[in-house]
Amino acid sequence: MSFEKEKKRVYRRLESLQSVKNSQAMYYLQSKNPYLHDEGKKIAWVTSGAPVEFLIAMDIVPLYPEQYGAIAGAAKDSTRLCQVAESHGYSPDLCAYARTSFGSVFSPDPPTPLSEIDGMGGLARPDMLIAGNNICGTVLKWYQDLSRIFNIPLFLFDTPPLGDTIPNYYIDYLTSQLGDYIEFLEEQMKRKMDEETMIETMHHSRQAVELWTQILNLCKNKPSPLNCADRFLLMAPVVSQRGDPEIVPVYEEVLSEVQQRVDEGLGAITVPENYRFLFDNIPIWFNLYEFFNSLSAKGVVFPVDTYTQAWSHQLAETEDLLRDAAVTYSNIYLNKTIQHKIDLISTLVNDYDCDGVLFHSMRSCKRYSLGQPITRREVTEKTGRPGVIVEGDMCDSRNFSEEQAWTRIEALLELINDER
Amino acid sequence: MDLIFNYTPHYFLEGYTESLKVIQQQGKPLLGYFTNRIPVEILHALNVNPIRMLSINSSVQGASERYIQTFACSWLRQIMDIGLNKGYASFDGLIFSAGTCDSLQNLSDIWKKVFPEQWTYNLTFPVLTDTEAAVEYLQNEFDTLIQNISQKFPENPDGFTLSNSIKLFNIKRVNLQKLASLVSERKMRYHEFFKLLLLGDTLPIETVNSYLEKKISQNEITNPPDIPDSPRLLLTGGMFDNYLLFEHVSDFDYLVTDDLSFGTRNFNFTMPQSSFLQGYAQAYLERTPDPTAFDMEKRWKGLENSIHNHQIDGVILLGIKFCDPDTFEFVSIQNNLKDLDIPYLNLETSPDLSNLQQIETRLSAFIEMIS
Ligand code: SF4
Ligand code: SF4
Repeated sequence: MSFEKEKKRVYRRLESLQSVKNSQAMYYLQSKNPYLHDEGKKIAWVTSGAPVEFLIAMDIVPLYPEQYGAIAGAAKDSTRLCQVAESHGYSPDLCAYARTSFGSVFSPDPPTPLSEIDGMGGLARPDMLIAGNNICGTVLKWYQDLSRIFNIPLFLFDTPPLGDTIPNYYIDYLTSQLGDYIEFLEEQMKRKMDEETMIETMHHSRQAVELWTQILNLCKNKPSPLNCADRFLLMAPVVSQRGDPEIVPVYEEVLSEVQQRVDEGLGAITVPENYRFLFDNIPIWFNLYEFFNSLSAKGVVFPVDTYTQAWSHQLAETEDLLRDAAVTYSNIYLNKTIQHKIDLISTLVNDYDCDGVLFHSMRSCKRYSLGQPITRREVTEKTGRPGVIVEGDMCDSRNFSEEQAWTRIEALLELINDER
Repeated sequence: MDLIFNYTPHYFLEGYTESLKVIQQQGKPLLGYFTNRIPVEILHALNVNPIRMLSINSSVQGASERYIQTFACSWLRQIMDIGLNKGYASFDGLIFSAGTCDSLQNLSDIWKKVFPEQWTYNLTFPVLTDTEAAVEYLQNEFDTLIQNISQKFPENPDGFTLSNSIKLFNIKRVNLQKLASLVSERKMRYHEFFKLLLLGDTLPIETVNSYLEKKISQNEITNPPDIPDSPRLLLTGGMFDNYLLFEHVSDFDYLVTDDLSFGTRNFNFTMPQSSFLQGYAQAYLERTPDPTAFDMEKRWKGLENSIHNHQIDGVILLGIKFCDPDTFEFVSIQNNLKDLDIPYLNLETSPDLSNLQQIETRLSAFIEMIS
């Protein structure tokens, strides 16, 4: 078996993806509304693991430099932006999301547009910064520098990594910070947070997450109604607009189309599904379509991945909103042990009946990637399914060798074929 | 007890892993630790010997690739290589600093998988340094550490007397401060001082204190060595520990002070001598922060003071390959140095000093330029 790039589209078109794209385009367009401040709103740049509901409840538009990295990556512009950041002193060894974001700030040429209707390119300039280190330590330094560059305030939500248990004093620490977070936001907005609005926002957030979880669960079906690239594109609103009521009908539409595919026995790809794999890590944005389409042509489908699963955790719901948020926002895949990763991947492999695992060893992200050789071995021991590690990067194309990736995947497919 | 008096300091550093065996023969459990944030006084009061992990003298390289990718911090990869070569087998346990950097965070999990027989513990640090909640959190972490160590190593004939241990470690810090002044006054070469710093973290505290006192008196009576007067350089960076770099490259003799994890950041303070954990935790958070903490401004203020107090002509930034926290902070430090009009040189290496020649050439050119 040998791999060739498949040019012919073997993806089944998902109509509701357009609604997701429209929703994102509107969201980005609104963030560039020149009257935004006059309407009493502000803009925050936030990390993907930050408690975003608090911002939405305070009329602050959250924008995600990481998501911008994905957009620039998919537009094949991120490597250029990384190089701009490097010319300002940032080492090529640092996370490419961070470098892309610095590059977009410093770039003399227009940065990548956010959508087809965005004329200006780049994220709207922030009024404040919110960072949560529940995904990695990189964001700490990255946002410190953004704060220096823009000369704007930064709030850090510190969520030390979790061990096997969560002591009470840990939750106390986080809860106290969430109180400080509200105070910080009130100070920035010069008004009090409305408790009712906050409760409502949490409710909308739960609704979106619930719908997203149902969509992901439907991929347990055979054939899988969605492939990796579908989910990577569909997840944008649940990441960035979580808590905004407008995304609820969008996900209802997606869910209904995905359910329909399941009912009709239609898979994500137009050729028979031969192999089901789990994908671990952030995708190779600059190669997203080519990569998954070429694999699809061989009948390889990814019904599950660890990245989009990260947004499937429900916000706990008790009487104590801050403690609930503290538990939810610390209990995150990247804030937990490698043993947890091994257990979760093994469970997902079994639940989604995968034939193997493709680990993307991403030079940019130490927190996500380091230790994958051990994870691979132990997942195989636990599930009996083989795995392969492919080296690459989500945004910096200089760190990805397509030939090497194909050779390794080919070897994995051969191994599976031999065992069948 | 007078270990070091029977051997030379080089014996301990060059044969670091062998030295561990000698220390272990003293009878107390040996606990290895990774960062200067570890509360050594607490460990000492629990009747264990806290010994810092060093990455020097690895004879085996590359074995770690089976477990950890090559873009992990090169310091930790070297540590893993040494571990795989049984270099840390004498340790009765290891204490990891969680909540610091991504490489170390993942390594702690990887270590448990690769060396399941070795006892390990994760002490988790807050990255915030200036809130009451952070102090309270750290105090609780220290408390939990005490419970766990007492359970694992219950033998403690003198009982837990934290203030005594604080006193001993404060003596060491004051002695190191005195020796640091000798470096600044050009009465001691930096590389000799750096070896003492390493010894200070890798020998039992009682031995360290007697030894440092002897060193101070020796240096006070002998004539100062022939050390060039200017330019006066400052070295900043992270967890670099390979003293051979400073020994081999003679231009490092121009160093008059540093801002390293094994260096000034480890001794430029004393702890309040009380037995209350709250004050202890607070004092720990008030120290000059490492790049892993959320307090670049405080670190920079310390650096700025140092530049002023030591009349610094140039700054060397020494990065460790794939150390993200330092690599990030170097950008701000360089910008600040530009504003102060202080010349700087950005160097990067790994613990195996694979680019020693290049460092030598660049440092020499830099010195020529600023002289
Ligand atoms: S280091 Fe990893 S988790 Fe952190 S921002 Fe970069 S890609 Fe995301
Ligand atoms: S702070 Fe830097 S040198 Fe220290 S363990 Fe982390 S990455 Fe390595």
